Amino acid sequence: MIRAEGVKKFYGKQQVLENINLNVGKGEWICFYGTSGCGKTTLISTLAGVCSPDSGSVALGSERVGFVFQDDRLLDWKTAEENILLALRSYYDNKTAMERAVHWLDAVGLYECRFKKPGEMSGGMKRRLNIARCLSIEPDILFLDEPFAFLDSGNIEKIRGRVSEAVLERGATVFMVTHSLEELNGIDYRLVNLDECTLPLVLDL
Amino acid sequence: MAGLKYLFSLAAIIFLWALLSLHFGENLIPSPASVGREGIKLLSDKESWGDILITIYRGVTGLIISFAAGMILGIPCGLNRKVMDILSPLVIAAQGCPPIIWISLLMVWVGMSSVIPVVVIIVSLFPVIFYNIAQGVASLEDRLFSMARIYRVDKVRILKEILLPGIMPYILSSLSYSLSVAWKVTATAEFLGSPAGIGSRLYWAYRYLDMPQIFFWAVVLIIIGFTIEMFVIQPVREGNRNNMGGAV
Repeated sequence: MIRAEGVKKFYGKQQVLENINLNVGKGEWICFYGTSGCGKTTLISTLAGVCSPDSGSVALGSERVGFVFQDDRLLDWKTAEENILLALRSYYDNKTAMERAVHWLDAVGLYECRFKKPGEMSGGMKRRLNIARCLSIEPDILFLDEPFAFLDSGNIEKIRGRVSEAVLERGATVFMVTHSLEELNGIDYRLVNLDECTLPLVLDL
Repeated sequence: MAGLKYLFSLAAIIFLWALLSLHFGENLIPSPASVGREGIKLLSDKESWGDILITIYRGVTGLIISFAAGMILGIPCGLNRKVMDILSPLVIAAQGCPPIIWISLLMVWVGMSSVIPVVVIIVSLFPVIFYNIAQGVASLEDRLFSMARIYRVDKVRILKEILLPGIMPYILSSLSYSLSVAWKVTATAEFLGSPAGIGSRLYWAYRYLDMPQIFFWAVVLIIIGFTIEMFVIQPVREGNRNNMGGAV
């Protein structure tokens, strides 16, 4: 489902990934845990294809990929709805895309704000929009980079429920980065503790 | 209310001008009244309008060419470091070359014509526009293009929905800079190397020490710049700010 072989990645002169090999099957929920600066974001960015490895290869197949970015990566000049539609239009016709956008905005509690632009939204709202965009396209592989940071405690429960429902429904694979395992209460995951590794990272999964 | 404020500062400027004129005398600083009389005389002459139009025409032509070139070369440079590394020394060389050198060379190559002011505008504006656009595109690269890649947004939509709106603030700031610079550069180039246009009229007014006329053409240039700032740049900027949801 997802294979990585001999992946190396440098940031400028600093090597972050030394040798990443993994072979992860459908339906697994992998959690990379560690304090900040341990290469978590670089790791899942490289696996997802956000940035390309300096050597080695990553194969995702033709799977649909969703990514919850740590810095949200929303278009400031588009409304919440248009931001989701940008992703949806790659996979669905206009009518279905519109229906799915409305459905997912509602699911994360942003229906009322669908015509607002990111500049008018709080950090938590932007994060929920980011999550809705990821889930709306029915991804087979999800990359979640600190997905529940910025969410207020009232929302975490609900949003985490939405994410795990969507994942279980499709038997999707998840790569998640977090520094707080409490966020994963009630989820069946496989923990990879990066704090036990040294930089640059060497991993075999 | 803004109109009232402008009227007030305009009145203050004219008042100060009149005072200076009284102090230094008509020969050095002609009074607003005599510049006004000169203006009425010049504006009732078709030739003056021709000169104003020719300057605007040259300014606009140079601006359009600079922008087209800035976009066409700036976008690939912003997208790709290697292209940037190849083009950047050329642009820096062009930027470092003072306009006076271009004017001298062009006078020899093509003689006095519209080519001189237009080329001088291009060499003055293009590097700034080019760098602005390239920088704008580069600022989108890491964040938004990778997001678009993940969600398989095709090239046409990336251009239309992400790249162009994303660099809009950079385009607008280059436009505002360019518009303010274009008239000054055009007038200077015309002063030195053209038989027509506002700059050339300034040159002849200077040769005859016709102070009211010099002042009149200066006022015309200021009015052109002011009009563009008030009625083109500010509304566009305002529109863009609203479009960003107040974020910029």
